[in-house]
Amino acid sequence: MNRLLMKAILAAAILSLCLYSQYEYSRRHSSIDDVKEDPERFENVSFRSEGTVRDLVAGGGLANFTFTVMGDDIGAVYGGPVEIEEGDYVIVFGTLFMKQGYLLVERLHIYRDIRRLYALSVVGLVLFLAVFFRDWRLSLRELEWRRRDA
Amino acid sequence: MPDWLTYVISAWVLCEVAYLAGFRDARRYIGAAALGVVLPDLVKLFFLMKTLTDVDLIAFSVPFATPVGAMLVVGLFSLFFQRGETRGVLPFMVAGTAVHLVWDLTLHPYGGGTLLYFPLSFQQYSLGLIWSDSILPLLIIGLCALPLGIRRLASEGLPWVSRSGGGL
Repeated sequence: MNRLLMKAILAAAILSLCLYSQYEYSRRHSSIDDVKEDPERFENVSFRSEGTVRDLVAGGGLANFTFTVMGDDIGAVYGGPVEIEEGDYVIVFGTLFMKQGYLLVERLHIYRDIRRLYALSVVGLVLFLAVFFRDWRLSLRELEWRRRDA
Repeated sequence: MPDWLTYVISAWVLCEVAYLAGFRDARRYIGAAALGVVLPDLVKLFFLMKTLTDVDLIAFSVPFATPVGAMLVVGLFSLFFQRGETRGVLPFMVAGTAVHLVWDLTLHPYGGGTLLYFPLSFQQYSLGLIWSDSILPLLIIGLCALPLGIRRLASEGLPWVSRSGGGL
């Protein structure tokens, strides 16, 4: 089969999957913007996400904080045993009470080594680029990767 | 997800084991396997885009980290290699992507899990063994890579030194 045709077919298949996911996945998973726009719908609803702890105020066994997920904020309350600190990157599991405008966090895990993950990933990226470009070069005229030793 | 260093070392281990198993071209395709092993993380670019620009295409990008979607992406990328190389590149890219998905499957379920049967199902699966920021995957793959590296050094010497020890 013609390579151009195969590329077109695969690209169309991938795009179809992405559009299907955009519609169906969005119906099943809501962003914080969606949650805020429809408080009635998100009353007493389970919630799970990863994000950053901001504006932490702790006292009386409760921690009130702003939970920031990819730039979107939601107020959160946590009374569990794990001590959180300002700026912690956490994954939370809880329940939304959006009529009162907050997320009740029932369990959480702090990614204490998230900076190490990022640092190792940067090293991995450099290694990947070195390994890949050692063997391959991009031919702009044919728009394809060619062996350096060819 | 585990860190990218774990992924890239996994690609090297994969090719080294394939070489020892008799696939004599395996070492020529470490770059292709490394590309395959990082491709499912295309989805992270959309996370970054959401964070930086507030354009939310995360749901759109979900297929890149699923088995069916990732394999289609690998198939498409393999067609951008020169004629005659696609057949060599494709199996190593597929194997690299499979390794990535297996690593992701080991993550703790709080991390969401892998949509194994997408597009037939949106159910997420996870073995729940490792947190994303754990050093464990790197230790595990490091322990696998160490004997392979020692064996290669012992049999072939340093890559930039000839076997007779005569220098570069």
